[in-house]
Amino acid sequence: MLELKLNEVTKKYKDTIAVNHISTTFTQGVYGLLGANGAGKTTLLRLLCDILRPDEGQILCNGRPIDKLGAGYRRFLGYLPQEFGFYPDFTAERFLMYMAALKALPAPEAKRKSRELLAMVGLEEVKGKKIKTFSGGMVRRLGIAQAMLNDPEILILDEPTSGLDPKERIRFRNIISAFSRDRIVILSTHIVSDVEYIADEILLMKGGRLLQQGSVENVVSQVQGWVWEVAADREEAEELNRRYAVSSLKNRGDKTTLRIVSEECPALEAVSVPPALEDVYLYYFREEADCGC
Amino acid sequence: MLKTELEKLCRKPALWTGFLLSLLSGLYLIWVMMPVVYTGEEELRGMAAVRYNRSIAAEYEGFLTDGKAEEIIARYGYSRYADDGRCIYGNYLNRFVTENMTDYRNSKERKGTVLYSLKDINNILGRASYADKIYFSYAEGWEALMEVFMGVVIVWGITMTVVLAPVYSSDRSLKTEAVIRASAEGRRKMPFGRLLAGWIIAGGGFLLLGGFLFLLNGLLYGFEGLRSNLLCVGAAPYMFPESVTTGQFWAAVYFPRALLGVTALVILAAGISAVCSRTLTSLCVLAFFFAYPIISRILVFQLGVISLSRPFARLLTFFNEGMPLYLMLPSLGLEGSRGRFFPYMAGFALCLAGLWMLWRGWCRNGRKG
Repeated sequence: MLELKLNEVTKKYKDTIAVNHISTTFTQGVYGLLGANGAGKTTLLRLLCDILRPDEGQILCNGRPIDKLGAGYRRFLGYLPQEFGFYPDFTAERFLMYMAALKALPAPEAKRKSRELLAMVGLEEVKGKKIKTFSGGMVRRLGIAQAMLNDPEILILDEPTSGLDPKERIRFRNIISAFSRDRIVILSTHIVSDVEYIADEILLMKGGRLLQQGSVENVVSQVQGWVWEVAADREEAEELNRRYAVSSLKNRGDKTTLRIVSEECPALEAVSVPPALEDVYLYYFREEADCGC
Repeated sequence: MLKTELEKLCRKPALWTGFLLSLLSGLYLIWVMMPVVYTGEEELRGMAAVRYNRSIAAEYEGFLTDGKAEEIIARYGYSRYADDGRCIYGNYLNRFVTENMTDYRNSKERKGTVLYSLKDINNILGRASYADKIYFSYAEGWEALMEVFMGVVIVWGITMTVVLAPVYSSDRSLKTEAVIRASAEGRRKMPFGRLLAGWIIAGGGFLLLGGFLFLLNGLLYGFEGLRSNLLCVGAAPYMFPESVTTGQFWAAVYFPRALLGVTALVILAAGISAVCSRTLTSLCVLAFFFAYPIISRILVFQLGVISLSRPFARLLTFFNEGMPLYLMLPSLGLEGSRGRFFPYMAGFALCLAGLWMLWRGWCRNGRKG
């Protein structure tokens, strides 16, 4: 069983610190990396993939630095980047065969695995078509397939569900759940529902730092007692919306029901409700949500 | 992996367009380089001139002697030239004797009036230490082939620049870089496979084009010219102090050197492409490197850098002989100016520089990623 350990890992780009002294350990399970855009998720994943070198700190795989392990480490790796590129004139099958060669898979196994994965992601019928004719969702599914070609012990997925429709998202979640046994799966997203159901642990990142890490229940318990529901008329609802972090807002007749995340009780008639992961996200990333970053 | 990399290159329209253009330019140059013979009574052109020259030269094939030169002049007279240097009377034999063994080069009127002995240093051939063993045969076509190759090499070099410049930078534009570099062999076997694929295409194309034109030239002019001494096709004795035949030059001097040039171009293309993030940038940088010998010569000689600072001018042109373009050109003077091995050493150094750039830009776990 692999263990991936980050030891005070820091990555800077000129004046910006993208990843700031992060220390954590990944063992088997699904890890959901949550954070707003610019939180440093992609940089952290690129560091984990040995594409980038940290400015400070070390990443160790079973106690050995990954940059020293080199290809020996990357052999364990499956990676889907945020912006997944492809050769437009390649067919899906040819692209997977090419990726399989890069992952040092023997040809017969590459062929078998490509077919299996194309079927799994629902691209079997279009395997002979050029990728340039694919929709965004199909390309994303192809990206997921290539990441899993070598049965990776460490699967790193950066925004894997962007561009997928709800049905495809559910399919993806099931694929990852089934795949994650005895492996490390790290997926970054800012879509909370992607990780809420499948992640064993959640990591919250903001400004390059790790704010929280723990099981969904543990992370959610951080805002226990700070989530409120209140029914208010339109004017009062607008005022509450301005003052507090509102995770949902529903109009019911002439009243509006708001779900508010706040350490203080926002209104006399507000009722404390059990928190969800989305509330935690809103609590930590309210400013980013407000500025639309 | 090699097969896929080869397929990727072969599917580029620029490759086939360039190959066709190189071939057409070679054929065109062979056609325009065909000799003209002015016998005094008639003007022979093209294959008729080749047949005529070949038949008269066959009588004199063998080691060159003063007696043979005298007999040629007695039989055909000195060749004559217009003010612009154009030959207005002459065939292969009397032109060869007039241009190499008389006072033609020293006379302002472009006339040969005195025939020098092979022992006389006024005779260009007489300056060779092996002047008594200069093998003569009909080598006109092989001299012309050098000009043909110059044209073909330029077109093929430009083609390779266009085809190979995006070899890594396109992965950055297409955003395939991350998945490739995160794979087990993406920084090990894959760069090697790409280099090999590039070399097979560039070197294979060059050998195909060169081989075809070489063979065609032999069929048109005859292969006996390959037996002639290199001095018969215009080499200077001080550049080839040992006796070298034209065939030996093509086989043992030019082709290995040209293949080093092709190799340097392929490795340099890979290195430049690996450090550039945009395809256009890698194309421009590689094009600059490829054309550098021409650019530096324009700067030095036409724009007058040499008159401003001679050391700077020397610095600008110092590496020219090791650049891919020069290595690929069938120049007779390349070995002479800075020592016989300088072009090879410079070309080899360029290959190392390309490999270093490839390692730094692609294979290494970089800080910029």
